[in-house]
Amino acid sequence: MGLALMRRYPVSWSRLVIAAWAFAAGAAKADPIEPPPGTSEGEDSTQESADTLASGAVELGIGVSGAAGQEIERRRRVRFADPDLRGTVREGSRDPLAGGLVEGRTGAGEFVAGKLSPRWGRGLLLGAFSDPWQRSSMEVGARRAGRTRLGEGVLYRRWGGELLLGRFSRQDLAGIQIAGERRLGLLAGRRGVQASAGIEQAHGGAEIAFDRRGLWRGEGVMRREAGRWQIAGAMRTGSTGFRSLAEPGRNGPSRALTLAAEGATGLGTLRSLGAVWSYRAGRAGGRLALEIERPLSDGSRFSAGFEEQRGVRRDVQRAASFRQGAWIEWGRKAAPLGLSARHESWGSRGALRQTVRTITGVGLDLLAARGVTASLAHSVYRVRRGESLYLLENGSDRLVLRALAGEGHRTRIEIRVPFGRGVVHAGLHLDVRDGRRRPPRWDVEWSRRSRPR
Amino acid sequence: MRACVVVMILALSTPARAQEFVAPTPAGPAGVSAILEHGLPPVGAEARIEALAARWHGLPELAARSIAYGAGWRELRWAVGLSRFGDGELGWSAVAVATGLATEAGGAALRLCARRDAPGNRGVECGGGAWAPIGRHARLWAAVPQLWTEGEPPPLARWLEIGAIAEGFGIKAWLSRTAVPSRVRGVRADHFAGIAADTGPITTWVSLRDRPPRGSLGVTAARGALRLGVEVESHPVLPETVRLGVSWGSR
Repeated sequence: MGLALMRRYPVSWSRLVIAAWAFAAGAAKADPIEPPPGTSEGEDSTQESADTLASGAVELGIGVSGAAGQEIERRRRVRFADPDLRGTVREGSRDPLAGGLVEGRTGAGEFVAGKLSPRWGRGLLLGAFSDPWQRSSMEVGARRAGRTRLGEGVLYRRWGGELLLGRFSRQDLAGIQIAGERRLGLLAGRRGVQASAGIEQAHGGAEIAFDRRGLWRGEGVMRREAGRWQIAGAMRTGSTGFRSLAEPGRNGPSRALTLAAEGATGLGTLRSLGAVWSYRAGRAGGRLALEIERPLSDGSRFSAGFEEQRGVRRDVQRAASFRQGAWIEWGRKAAPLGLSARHESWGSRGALRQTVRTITGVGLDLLAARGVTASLAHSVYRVRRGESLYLLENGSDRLVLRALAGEGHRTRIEIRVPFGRGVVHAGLHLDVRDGRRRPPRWDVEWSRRSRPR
Repeated sequence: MRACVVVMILALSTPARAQEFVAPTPAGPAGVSAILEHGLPPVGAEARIEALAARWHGLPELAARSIAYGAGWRELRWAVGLSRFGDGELGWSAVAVATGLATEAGGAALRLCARRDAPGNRGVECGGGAWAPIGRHARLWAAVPQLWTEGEPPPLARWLEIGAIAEGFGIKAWLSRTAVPSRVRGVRADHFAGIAADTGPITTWVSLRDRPPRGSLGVTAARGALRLGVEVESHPVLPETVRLGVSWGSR
């Protein structure tokens, strides 16, 4: 499959040598920010923070947000965690995370009800499968961070199996999975029936999914340690027309090969990722990324990276493109003052010429007395029309990938102040885009974590 | 006619740097002007009063006269300054205040500058900066002098500036990159590099800027609490810019 991809995707011998070296050298970790799989081009993406709640704790959050001349939006959330029952309820107008989730135990079984983001195996049948050009495609295991919500329903686990009843992509689905080191899954809805089989081990996993029409897709990943190096490889192949019942609108490459490695060198930790993929004939792409990260004697960290992208990243992308990018980053997380700076530039010609997007950002973290913290993140960007650039913004309970367009600068100021046995979190967004100042957006949330006696 | 020439010169020069409180000193977080113009607080808490004068491109209409005072107590730093830039219809008065914290491990400050021109238009800009050491001999700074503006737009749009300065063996070398908005070519970057040598009470430096290529030569001399400085900056088309500074410090 790999050789077939090479034939379709014009890769010169020199690049193959570079790719081989990249494979032997490391996998890009502090990559340029990319949206999670399935996010539409140029759209913001919101995910829940990976913050976990201690057993027996309850968290309450009440917040408002708004902008000058706009209606104030209210948000509320409750989280609770107990050994036998835990859950989250979010409510708010235009809150993309609104909804509820309850997880609990009943006898020998476990249930999950509400917002669901399950992932079976490699996610080919159920769950977001990875984009082969992202480092997340190398991850092993069903529970990965950063998954987006897929649907709503009920999931019941017992005797190593899972029973699913839910609504995904505006259709009702029922599914059953026999989980374990070897797993089988079946998913059925009005639009058809799909099944999958796979294996899941500590150092790798594989899955093959197919439907009644004979369309199929298979994917496997393997991780190994070789001395000071961690090496990983993933491969995907199958029918071009295969679509998951749970996410028919999302179509990743039908064939892909991804190689990554990470290891310590005299210069620092070196990471690389090389990937080639194909949606169908004539719709292929490739990515090669190298990054080096070096801790400095004063506790700060320095990293620099280089990347080349070719081809398409979407089946419907009009034209194949060539992009070459480089970035440099320095940061020091120290109390009371932490500072970081990053510059990233992309060009549509070799040697970073013909700049299509560039962003320079600084971050400042200040730890004041009595638990008061303040932070400021400021970025100056220039994005050519048709290009995508994302900025990661931390909210009180969420991560937002903000899609940037045009040129301008964006600032986020955050302050956390202990108040009323909780914490008040206030944020202010200042946005100047294409020479015009946008109305400043603000948000305030009070949250409290408590452990009932 | 003279006003038209001045406006044309302002458009040609497009300096990305500050105007009112520019002191003839090497770049980096040091001195009263650094906290007032960039929000970069100095490490030392010494009190210092500074008188500054500048003549941009040899034109008396673009002359600036400023006085600034800065001091500190423990980690706290503050400064205040008054300035008059230019004469007649093109001139304006400015008052700036800045306050922040600084230790050997880093510093951060907020600055605010309010201006009023001859017709009575008022404008305010608010921003800040921070710096942190990189190892024992280098520092990195970042400044956003105009994080927020209100009222009459400032005479120069000043966006994010990131710079680094390395020191050792009596030599300082720096490099900074400033994002400059341009209506014609979009956001672009200006670069500023320089090297300074400390020889006892005398500090001499040369620096280079791009867009357009410019060079400057400066020297400061200190005797006791008194410090004098002068800097001359060339321009490929326009006459030189001359800056003078006299300051008196607590030590």
